[in-house]
Amino acid sequence: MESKLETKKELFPAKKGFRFTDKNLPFFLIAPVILIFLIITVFPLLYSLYTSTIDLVMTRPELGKDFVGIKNYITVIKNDLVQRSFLNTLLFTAIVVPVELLLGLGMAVLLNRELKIKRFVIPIMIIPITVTPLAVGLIWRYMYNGEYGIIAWLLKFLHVQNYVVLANPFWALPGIMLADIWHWTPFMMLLLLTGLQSLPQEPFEAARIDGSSGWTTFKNITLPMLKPVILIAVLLRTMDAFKLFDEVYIMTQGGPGTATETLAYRVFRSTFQYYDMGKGTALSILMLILIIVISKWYMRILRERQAQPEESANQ
Amino acid sequence: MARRFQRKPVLILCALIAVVGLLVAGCGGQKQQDQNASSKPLTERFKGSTIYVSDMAGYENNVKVKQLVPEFEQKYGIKVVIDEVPYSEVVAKHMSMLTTGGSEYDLVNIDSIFLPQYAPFLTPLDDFKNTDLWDDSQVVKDDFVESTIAQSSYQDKWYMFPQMYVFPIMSYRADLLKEAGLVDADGNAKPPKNIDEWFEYAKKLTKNGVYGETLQLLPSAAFDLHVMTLILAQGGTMLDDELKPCINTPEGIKALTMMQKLYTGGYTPPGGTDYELGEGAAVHKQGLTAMSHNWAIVTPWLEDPKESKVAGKLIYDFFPQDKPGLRFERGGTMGLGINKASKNKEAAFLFAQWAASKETQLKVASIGTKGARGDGSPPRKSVLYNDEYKNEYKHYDLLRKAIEGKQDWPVPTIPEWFQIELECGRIAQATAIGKTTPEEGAKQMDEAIYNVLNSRGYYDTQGKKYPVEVTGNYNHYVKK
Repeated sequence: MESKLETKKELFPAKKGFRFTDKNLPFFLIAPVILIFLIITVFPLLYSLYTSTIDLVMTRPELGKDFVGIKNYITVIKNDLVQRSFLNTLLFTAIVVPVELLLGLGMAVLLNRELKIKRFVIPIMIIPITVTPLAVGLIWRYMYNGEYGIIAWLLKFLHVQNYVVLANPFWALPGIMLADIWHWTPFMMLLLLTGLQSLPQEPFEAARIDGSSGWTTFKNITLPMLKPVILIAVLLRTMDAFKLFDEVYIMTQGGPGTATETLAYRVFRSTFQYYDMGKGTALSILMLILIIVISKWYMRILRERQAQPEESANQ
Repeated sequence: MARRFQRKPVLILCALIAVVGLLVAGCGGQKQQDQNASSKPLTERFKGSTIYVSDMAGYENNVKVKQLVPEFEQKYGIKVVIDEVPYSEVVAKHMSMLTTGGSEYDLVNIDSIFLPQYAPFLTPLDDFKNTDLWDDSQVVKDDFVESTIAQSSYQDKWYMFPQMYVFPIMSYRADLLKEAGLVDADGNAKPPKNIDEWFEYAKKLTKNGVYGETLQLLPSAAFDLHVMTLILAQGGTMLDDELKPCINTPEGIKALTMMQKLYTGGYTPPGGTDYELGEGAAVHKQGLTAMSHNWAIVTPWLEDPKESKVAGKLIYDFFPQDKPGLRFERGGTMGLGINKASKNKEAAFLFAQWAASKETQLKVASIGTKGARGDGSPPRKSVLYNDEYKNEYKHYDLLRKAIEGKQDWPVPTIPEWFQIELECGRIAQATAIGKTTPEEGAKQMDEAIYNVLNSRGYYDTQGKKYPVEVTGNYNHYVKK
């Protein structure tokens, strides 16, 4: 047997040079993923950072691309329209996310019980999520249309003076908010319903035996246990709402005036309408930083919340 | 081992010779192939190739040329794939492709006001002039309306064959004018003489659920169609010889005041903040408005009895002017530009040439319902002066007058014009709905224009005077 092996070694001598080992094999296995990550995430990000430091107008190639350092950042921060867009974005996010959360939570609680109609209601309720934001924008734009829209007709019928919602600087943003709430509340509902259904039943049974009322159980048991899911849902929607573009683009083009202009729409204007790539990219980098800061803040809260029960258990 | 080392340079040398030889042979072969290809007749040369065209959606000329495409495909053996893109998205879509050297489309449909920003990324038509692709019998340059040739050129280079004559006109509901007593001595509906009268007409005609005027207030239309027209009608201008803005002037403020009074007074549809060309035409043809200032290319929609409630009830005129001799309108054209990065430039040229040819454009004019045929605003004189269509289209008379009197005013030819239009359009919209005062609106527009042009270095040379082709300074066009 031994001699056979030796003969085999002679016939097929081990190649000198590189060999996979326990140490290097994992690196090779994850290398393709790292490569893809570098190409589709790191490189564009670095290139965007570089673009944000140059004065580049794509429609004027003869002007070249001068290095301007942080000038683009200062220019966009000082710009009145950017400041207005930032406030609009903030207002939109601050209203839309809590409303969607409350409505979604209410719907999830209602559907988290034995109902015969549940299997018909849930698929109908999640239809809005399946519609693309552009289509949502179009549907609501036509519903708000001053001459043919059903909402305008209804408001006119009720003798509301400003019945063309999207033409009114005060009501245009709430008009878009309503479309967004219609679009994304079912998403909140779905996440929270899944969360509710995954909660352990023992604490609820104990509460029932102790004679706890429905509201007390909800406040003291359901909500604290559901908090991680709520935070994740709010985080996802905040990031999404902060990037609001499609509905604004289709429904108002940022108007009337600048009443509905958001940061993402400003980035679109700068980069894809005015081709001022330097300033557009600087603004998108600032947006990215804001989103990272908000996400970090949420994650911190989430970690704190998760740590609390463990600490109390240890005590 | 020593022998192996000696052999190596010899092997490398052989390999190099082989590679160079192959390359030379390849290039020679390609040249030979090219020569063979160019010796083939045009109808054979591009057989089997495919070109991709990005058209603006909904424009009658494009719709009707598309119907004729099988004739082109049969003639040249070139397959044509047309992708229709809405006007509001077309510039962003095209520029994203062109500025990054993309070649998804061989031909792009361009509105001439945006040509300066497209030009660096297009192949001029002049490059084909001395090739056998150029067909004088199809081009017939003299047959194009002169201004459309000027508008489809930039810095002495011709970039696209005009396919539309972009020219705004007023349309009036003759029946409503008569009902309101706005008639001449013979009892015929009489258009207003000046802009003050036009404003009074809008007030008078607003009744019974019909609005007097149709303002298109989306940022992409508000400045281009209304603010500029009202300023020109008073003899004002947008930019002076140094490219300094001139909106914050009595003419500019009056223009914005009128728009605000029309909107806030309820003499134009409140949903107008959502209107561009298509929506403006839609409310007019549904009989919801008595007057409409819109591009002549929408007339087939207005005059189509199958779709329009006002077909046959309209009369057309230029937009009213304050003083005689000021009759100018913003002119322009639309056509197909050849993508510089296209791999099928020659086939693309053949299609652009064919689509704008006299023969094709005469066919386009014959397609559709009688009275609403063609594209409403053809760029070819052979169509505009054609006896068959001369009497059929009431507004052709205006277009002919504009050509003969050279009454179309070219917009400033600077790549930033689109940005200026959008920024000023946004302010115009805010002013019209009453969010901003006309004085503040005019001031903001001047600031917006100044900031855009200043940031691009137009004022670096203090006091530099730019040629009228660049500034579009209206003072140079007004007949003294």
